[in-house]
Amino acid sequence: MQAVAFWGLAAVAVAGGIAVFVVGSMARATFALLASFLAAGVELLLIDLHYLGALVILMMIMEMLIMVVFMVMYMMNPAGLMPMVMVHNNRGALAISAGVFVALATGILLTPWPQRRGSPPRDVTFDLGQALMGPKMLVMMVIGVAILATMIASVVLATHRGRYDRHVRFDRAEPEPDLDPARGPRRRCRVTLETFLLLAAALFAVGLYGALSQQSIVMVMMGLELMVNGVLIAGGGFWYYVAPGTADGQVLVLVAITVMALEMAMGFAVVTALFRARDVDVTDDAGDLKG
Amino acid sequence: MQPYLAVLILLGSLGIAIAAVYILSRLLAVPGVVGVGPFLSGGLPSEHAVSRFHVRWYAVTMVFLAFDMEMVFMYPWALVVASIGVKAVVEMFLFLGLLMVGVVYAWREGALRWA
Amino acid sequence: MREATAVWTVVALPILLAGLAFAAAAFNSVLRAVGAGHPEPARALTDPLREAARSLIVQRRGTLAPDRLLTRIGVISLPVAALLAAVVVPIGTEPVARLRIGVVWFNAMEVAVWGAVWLTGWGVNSAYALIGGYRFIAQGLAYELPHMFALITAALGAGSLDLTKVAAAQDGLWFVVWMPVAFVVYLFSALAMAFWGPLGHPVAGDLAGGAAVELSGPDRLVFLAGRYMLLVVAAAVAVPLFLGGGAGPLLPAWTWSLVKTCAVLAALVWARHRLLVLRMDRFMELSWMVLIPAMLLQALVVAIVVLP
Repeated sequence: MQAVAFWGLAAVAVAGGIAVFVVGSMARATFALLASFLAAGVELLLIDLHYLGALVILMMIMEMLIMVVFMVMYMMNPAGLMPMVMVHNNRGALAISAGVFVALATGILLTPWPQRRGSPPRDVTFDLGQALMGPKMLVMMVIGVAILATMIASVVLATHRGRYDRHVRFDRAEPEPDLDPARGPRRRCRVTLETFLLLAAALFAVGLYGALSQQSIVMVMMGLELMVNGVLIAGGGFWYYVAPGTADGQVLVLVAITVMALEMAMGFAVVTALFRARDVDVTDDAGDLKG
Repeated sequence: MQPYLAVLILLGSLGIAIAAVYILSRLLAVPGVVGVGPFLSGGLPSEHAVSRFHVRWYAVTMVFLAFDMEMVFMYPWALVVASIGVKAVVEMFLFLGLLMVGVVYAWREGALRWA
Repeated sequence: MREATAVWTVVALPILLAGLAFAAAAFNSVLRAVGAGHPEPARALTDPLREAARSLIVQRRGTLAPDRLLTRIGVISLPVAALLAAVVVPIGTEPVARLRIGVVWFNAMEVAVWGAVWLTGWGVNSAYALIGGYRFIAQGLAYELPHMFALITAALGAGSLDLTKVAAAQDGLWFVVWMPVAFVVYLFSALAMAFWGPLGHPVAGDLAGGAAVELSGPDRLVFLAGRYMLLVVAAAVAVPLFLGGGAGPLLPAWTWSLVKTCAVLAALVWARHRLLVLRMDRFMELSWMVLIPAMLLQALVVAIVVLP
């Protein structure tokens, strides 16, 4: 039963990831990415990471809705009503990502992974809380500073109104912003650390392909998100199959979730600033130092 | 009964109910589709609604993305306050205080206004 | 999720959900009839049934180049999210799935409404619907953080994310008594997640029905039914979080749960006919600069109280 669920969800996760770069409609692409994340979230639920699984579902729904807002704002053809291809170096990107997948898969299958140490605590989330308030306090505080920095930086980059317009009547003549547009249950089922890592590698490779081949900055960010999705799965797999007794794996997943959100906020802020300054939202037009 | 089985049964029943609605409508409704355009109070559309759409509150989304990460830490924190004590409360509210600085800054810069 | 599910809850949950959703719709119709000065408002009780039957036989409307797949996903995910959120809600003391992290699960399912409303608005390729969909996301940015703080404050008071344990922790003193701010904010966000009443801007009349404007026939029926189910679940979760769950004299626990849920639900439905619709461009600053700091203070007070 667990094996069936794992493989079914793995198929959804990878298929969703691939669909992101295949479908024409940006709305469909974003929700394909969301499907991939939801499948990853349920995979985490399967290995007793109830909190992190629910958290991935919660956060990813919100983040993908924000993602789709920016997609529709910046992409020229958000509904895919006109066929249009916005990729560069497609073959190279395919070759690199396929190569990376093969290399990762070989590594995964050949590495003698350590035996499982300890077993999951009775309340996994409680364990995580204790770690965050105890030995992992520094992680949380550093992330707090990073969040603050992200808020300030994204506000600086993305807003243009400043603080002094509050008491002035909104001037209609003012130009508009140019934004238009476990080794454990091996007997019961065949889900192992290797399968988790293979799924992670597949997601990572699909994301890498997207990050390398897409021209639009927002689509590149979708690729990066998919790569982090792979990290989430790998972190969860390591926790369950290698060291469920400690909260390290859980903290890794938490950090990955946070990094993803901060990356999105900064990414959108940069695209907005770039778009306002130069009217471009594709990487090829944003280079300054090219001859 | 296993909880996941119960949830699957409930989901299946809901699926059957929704399918029944669509099938009943197919059987009972007046056939065909009326109208070929969106409702625009009688006006004609000049472009697809699903074109580029600029929302004015984009700055709020970025502050939100960063700020809502505090939840990631607060849910597990809520479980351990009673067992860890003062240290946990001080740590969390320092963290939240840092984040509130960012919110106040965003507010002062007008990031939460758009109209 | 260790304990087995009691079979009766699997039978009771859909009956209660459907029954309460109908009751909310019927009460809403009666209040509307009263507001319109109808001589016999009680006759409006059967309006939801009539409306459902009409949805099944009426000819469908269509738009040009819609994204049917996304629209359907949006429409159907409303009732699915409501049902999945309802599985962790204790009926008396017994939920269908006793999740240790029930509060987070409820939160995650409730957020699915963001996607549902936006997809419904986007998929039909119609300007009014699209704007309705975007209004919901703006609303989400305003209500979601205070909502999460309200959930966490109740969980903090109990030291557990399991809704049954949160209810059990209120033995003697309901959380509503010493977390009034959290309770009010929760009720406010309950209105928001069902885009109901003062937070019904995404489907407001100024957009001729907003996100739902192009829905017809079975789509409309499923969308509206899902919305009432969400309202019911939002009201039902207030009971274990703040109102002592199934605690009460004489009657069995499940009756008390039901009575309290009905009371909250009636208040929410009533609010629609008494309060003005909020516009997010005026409300966003208030939400971030008043509701969030107020919730932080409330959480701080609760944290200090639960200190050993």
